[in-house]
Amino acid sequence: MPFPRALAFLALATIALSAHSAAQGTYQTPEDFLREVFAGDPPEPSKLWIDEKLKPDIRAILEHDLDVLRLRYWGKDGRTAWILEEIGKERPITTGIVVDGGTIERIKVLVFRESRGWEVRYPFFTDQFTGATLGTGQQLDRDIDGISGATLSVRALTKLARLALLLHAHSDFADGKQ
Amino acid sequence: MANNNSPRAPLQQWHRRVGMTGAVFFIFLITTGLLLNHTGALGLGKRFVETQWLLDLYHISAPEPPVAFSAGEHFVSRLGDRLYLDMKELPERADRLIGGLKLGDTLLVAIPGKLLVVSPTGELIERIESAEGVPAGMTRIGLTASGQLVIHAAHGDYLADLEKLDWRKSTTAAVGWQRRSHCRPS
Repeated sequence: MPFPRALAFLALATIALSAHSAAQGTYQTPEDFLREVFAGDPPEPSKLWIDEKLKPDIRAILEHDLDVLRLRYWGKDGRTAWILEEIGKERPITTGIVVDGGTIERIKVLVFRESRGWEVRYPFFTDQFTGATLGTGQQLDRDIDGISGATLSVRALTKLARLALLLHAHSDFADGKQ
Repeated sequence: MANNNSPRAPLQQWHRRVGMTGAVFFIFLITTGLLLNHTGALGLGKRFVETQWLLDLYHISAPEPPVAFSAGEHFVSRLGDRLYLDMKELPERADRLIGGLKLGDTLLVAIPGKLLVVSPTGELIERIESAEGVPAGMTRIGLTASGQLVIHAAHGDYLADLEKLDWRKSTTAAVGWQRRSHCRPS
């Protein structure tokens, strides 16, 4: 019987493509994330202006400027929640980050649009950020283990974690403010 | 040497066939991956696909005519998935432009699921999205006679206060809804 090479090719291609499509998607809507973080009752959002004092620190973290002048965030009892985006390779990764008293409480990938690197959504990766603080040079106080094949997504999430800590420090809910 | 009568023989034969087919597939992936990593050096970014069936396969079609909205003395427009305030491109892409209007000292651009607050010089002040309460299924925007923003969405009309992020159901009938106009080449 002649070997159906075209079928084998199609099967392999289907497996490869289905892995890609499974990577993309909305894992949790930002609204649901905020409801979960604030036990069903998220506070009114607050505003943070990205002023000239803050811009250089943001640039040092992201290696580019933020493309907005104002960010909204949600804060209560010294905790703040941020919905932030950063491009991994080509598309933005929407991430929810909670900072409590200057340390990261949790980080969660909400929407992943890249075709690869989705492994950053799993707790084995995101749990590394729990308890992290911002040290000298706007760096995290710990090393974050990378994931083979997801280098750019890992880098994007690490930047967002550092950014959330920086923004929290400038928020109305930073230590000693509220 | 393998014995053709062995029960393992068909398995080995299939193993070889699948392996060979897989090798061709992976060599193809490696080669095209290397080429794509050197797009600039090879000038691939300047060569465009013109084969119709290939364009159809990737759902690539000619962009629609530009769509524009008058916003005070400015124009908000979309060409392809790029958005512009007058001649300045905004740092956001969208496959649909719902509206654009002047709101106080700023301009407001509505795209699916998002409101963009833009300065008159084209700086993006902020994005307001569903997490901030933007009603789902937004289809048009307009202003009341007193200049308050109204959003027509899937579940009705909403009076919006973007400073307080307050979205209230509205029954106001007197709304000046935005109407889009196709840009004409000057």
